[in-house]
Amino acid sequence: MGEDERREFTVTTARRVVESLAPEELPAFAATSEAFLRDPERLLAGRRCGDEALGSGIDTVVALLSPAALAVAAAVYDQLVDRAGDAVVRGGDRVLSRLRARFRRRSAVEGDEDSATEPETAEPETAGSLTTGPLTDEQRERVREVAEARARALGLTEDRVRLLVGAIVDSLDRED
Amino acid sequence: MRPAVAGLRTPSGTTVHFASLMALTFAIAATIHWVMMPSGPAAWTREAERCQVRSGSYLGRPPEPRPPEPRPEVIQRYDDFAGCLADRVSDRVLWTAFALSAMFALAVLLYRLQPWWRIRRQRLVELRSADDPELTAYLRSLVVQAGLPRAPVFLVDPLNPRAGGLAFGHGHRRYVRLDAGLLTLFRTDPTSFRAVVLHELAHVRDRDVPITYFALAVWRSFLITALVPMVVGLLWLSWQDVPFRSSPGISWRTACLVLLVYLFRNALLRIREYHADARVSAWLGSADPRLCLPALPGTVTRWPPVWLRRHPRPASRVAALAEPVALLRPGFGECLAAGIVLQLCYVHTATPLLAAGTPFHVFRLLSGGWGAFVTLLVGFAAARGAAVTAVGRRRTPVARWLLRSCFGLGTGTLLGERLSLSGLGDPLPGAVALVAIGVLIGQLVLLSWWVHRCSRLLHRTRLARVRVIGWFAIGTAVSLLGWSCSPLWSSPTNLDRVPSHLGRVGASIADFGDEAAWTGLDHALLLVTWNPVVMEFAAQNLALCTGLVLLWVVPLLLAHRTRIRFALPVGLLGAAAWLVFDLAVKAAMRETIPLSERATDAFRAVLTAWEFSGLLLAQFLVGAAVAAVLFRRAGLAHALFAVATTGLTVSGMIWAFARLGTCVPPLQAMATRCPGVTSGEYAATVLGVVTVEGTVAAVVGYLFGTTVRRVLRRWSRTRAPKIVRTPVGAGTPKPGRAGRLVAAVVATASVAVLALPNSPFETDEESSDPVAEAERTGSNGTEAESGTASGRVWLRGGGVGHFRAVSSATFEFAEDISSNAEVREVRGSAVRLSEVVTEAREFPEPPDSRRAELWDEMLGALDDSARRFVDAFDTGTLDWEALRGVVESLERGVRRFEELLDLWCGEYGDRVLAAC
Repeated sequence: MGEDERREFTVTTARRVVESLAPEELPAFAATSEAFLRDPERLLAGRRCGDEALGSGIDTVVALLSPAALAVAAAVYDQLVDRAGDAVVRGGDRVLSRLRARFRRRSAVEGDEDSATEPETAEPETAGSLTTGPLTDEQRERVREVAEARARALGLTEDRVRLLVGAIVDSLDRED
Repeated sequence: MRPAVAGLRTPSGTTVHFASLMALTFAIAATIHWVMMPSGPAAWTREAERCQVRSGSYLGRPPEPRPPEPRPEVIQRYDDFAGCLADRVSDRVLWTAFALSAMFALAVLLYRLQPWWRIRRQRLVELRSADDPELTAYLRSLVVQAGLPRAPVFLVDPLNPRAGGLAFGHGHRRYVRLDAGLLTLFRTDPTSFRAVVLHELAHVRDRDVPITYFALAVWRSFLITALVPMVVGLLWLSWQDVPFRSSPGISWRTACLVLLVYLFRNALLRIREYHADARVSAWLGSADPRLCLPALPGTVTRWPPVWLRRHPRPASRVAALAEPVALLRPGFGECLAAGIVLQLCYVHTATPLLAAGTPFHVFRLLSGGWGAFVTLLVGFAAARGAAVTAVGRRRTPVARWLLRSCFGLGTGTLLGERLSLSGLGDPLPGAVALVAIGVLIGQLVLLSWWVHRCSRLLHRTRLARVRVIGWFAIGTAVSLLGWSCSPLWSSPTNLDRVPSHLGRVGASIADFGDEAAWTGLDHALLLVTWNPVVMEFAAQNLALCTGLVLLWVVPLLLAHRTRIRFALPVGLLGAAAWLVFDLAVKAAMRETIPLSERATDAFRAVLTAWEFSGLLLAQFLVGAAVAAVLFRRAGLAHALFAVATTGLTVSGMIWAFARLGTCVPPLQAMATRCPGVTSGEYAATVLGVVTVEGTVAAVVGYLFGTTVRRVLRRWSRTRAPKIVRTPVGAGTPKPGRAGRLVAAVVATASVAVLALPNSPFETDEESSDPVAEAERTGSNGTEAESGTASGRVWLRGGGVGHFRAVSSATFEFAEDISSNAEVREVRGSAVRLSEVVTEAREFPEPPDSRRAELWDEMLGALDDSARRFVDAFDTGTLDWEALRGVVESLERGVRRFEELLDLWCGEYGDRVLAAC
């Protein structure tokens, strides 16, 4: 269940980022996210070969946002989950809980039967204790720190780091 | 997209080259498996050497100083050699066939698996309509624009951030990969997106996908099934420290071949890219790089160098867009590669055939096919040059293109022979090989120019039927000339012996002049008219003579207007002039030489030389006159026609004089019996010689006539500005049905005479064939060539074993005698020596006469010694006198043995003969 949740969080968050910052990448986003979930390192490494027989011979490399968005979203999720253990002891991590609730609610809206049964089977005690609403400043700051660190590690420029982190945080605030 | 020559689409040539590449790969693999597997290269060499010794047919240089043998015996020896090898090669044939089948099967497997493996390895995902309906609809529209009957499957490469694509697949399953970076351009830069997708669709449309990927699969299969085993085998040989003399030669040649094929493959792939770009340009209706190659202008790629890349430099692609027809122009590199491929294919096909015991005449067919292929390649390049000229700019440097193409083909031929794994000779060509290639290039240049001119004429023709017939005639002429003329150059190395052979034959022919001793010119005239080159390769060569006839009849038939009305009388006038000359010569002959002295072979040859010389002079003048009058008006074809008319008429007269001339006193030369006896073959031979030599005379006369005309024009411009330019006798060119009919009649008559049945000479007047006679007399001479490779082959092929056996048996016999051993024991060693000598005598003698003589004397003396001892012992007459005779014979044999040993050791040292 944890892995599914991580995938769903990563893909949904990254998709929102791509929708807002690089909508031209949407046609390939499904394939990109699938490749990322299968082998993140390989996706982020990219492919070097550019002189294949019957290829176009074009070496122009496009700075894609999708791999970075996926990587940052996954890092945010991992960071939140790692801290969740401490947070539960202290009374629960509100950010993670809010996210879980949001995904369940959206699944219910989409009418998927399997998803509709999910709340009863997936940690009902945690889900029941979660509250929804906008992130607090402290939570937002924590997410921002994680996202920035990961984006810089990926070698993005400062402008793109700023845009990407802002879009990540905004996506977490969205209610849809 | 491709320009058309006379309505036929001009092929780009790359498909043919891909096929050549695959043929080359299979040919090299066949040779590798043949030589290397399964018993190793040394075993193969031993087998070949053994068969050379047994048949007496030594490959490479001939033994010295044996005189040249008549050709039938050479062929018989070769057939014996081939038969000997054929008995030993069944396992190799099976092995090679199995290995090639495995290579082909692996190639097919790799080809079929390649799309699946690529999709799996690169994790390609099919682009679904749901992902972006607008994008998929746009892609469908591009497929329609590309005119593809079946849309390829579009796949997304999520791992690739480049803005590129790739076409791949097999058979009818075609895929187009769209890189993730490219998909973003759909909205941000639709022009670039369209250009890249159309480029990949152009590859699909050009059928590049199956051809290219199968060629790549064959190459990979070759690496796996042939190259790797060969490298392992050579390493194993080195590890075992087996003294195998050919392994360095095989190694560097193989490395060069692999590199060449790799570079050739890359060059072909680059050419394909140019063609795909040109097709995109045609689809978009614009050569603007911003539309066709939007991502490339301004891009600079420095590494890797272009010859290692599969795509051309961006600047080259952009430049090629401006003039796509230039892609079809023939070039040096393309022809160089074709020459290498052709030569390697020839050598690597001939070698297994040689080893498989193929009869001699098959090699004649093979070399004829080689020659036809070479000339067709040049003709192909010339036709493409004509297409470019017709469609491209007004003034194109066609001459330069053709020169480069022919030079590339000739160089490639030479290079291919040096790189072949079969020869393993000296990597640097000798002077004779260089001269031979130079002559070949000259021939090819002339032929390509002719094809170019005919292609231009065809281009102006509108009737489809005429186009087809025209192309067929051009192809036939080119093939016949290549078949008959070019096989000589298929093995430039083997031409080393040709100059000496021709020199001997020429000297023998010239001796007729000394023997006849009529005039001081006889010697020179015989050498010119009975030229050994012409007589050896041209006389009775129907294919060559027919090709030469086609050289003039094709352009005349294709030309809109001809001047046959002028050329025909000039040709007949030339024949009349020859008749006057011939009567004068015969009259002078009758006046100066009595009939009894004239009726000799030498005098017949001298008379024929005078007659042919007169004919050559007449043909030269006819050619010059026609060229001077029809300056720059298809003059060469008309000159050749006029000269052919002269030749045909004179040949008929010579034949008639031989038949009936003896009945007419002014025509009598050497015989008076009426009527004379002659044959159709005589007429064919005369016309063959006349056709070949007349063509040379016509070309020289044409050059002379045009030079004179040019000088006169220049002079008239400077000195006499108002000169009348209407050429005398040219008249008004007629749109020529009658002219073409006359040309066709003369050509048909020429070919019909040339094809008269080949039977031995039956005439009593012209019974001597100077060349055959010269070959017979030339066989008495000796040849001082220094080649001794055959001696080494004899030793390695079993000679050294007999040498060693005789040596040890002799030593044992001598030791027993000198040590006063038991007489019965001495008898035993004498019997053993006699047996060993008998076995050695059954073995072929050494290939060169000096060693063969010593060998015979040695064996005779030793055998005599042993038999004397045995006879004396058995008959009870063994006394001191008998023993002295035994020892003397033994001493004589040992002396010969030492002389023989000195000869071999001085030449080879202990590399071949351990006794040294």
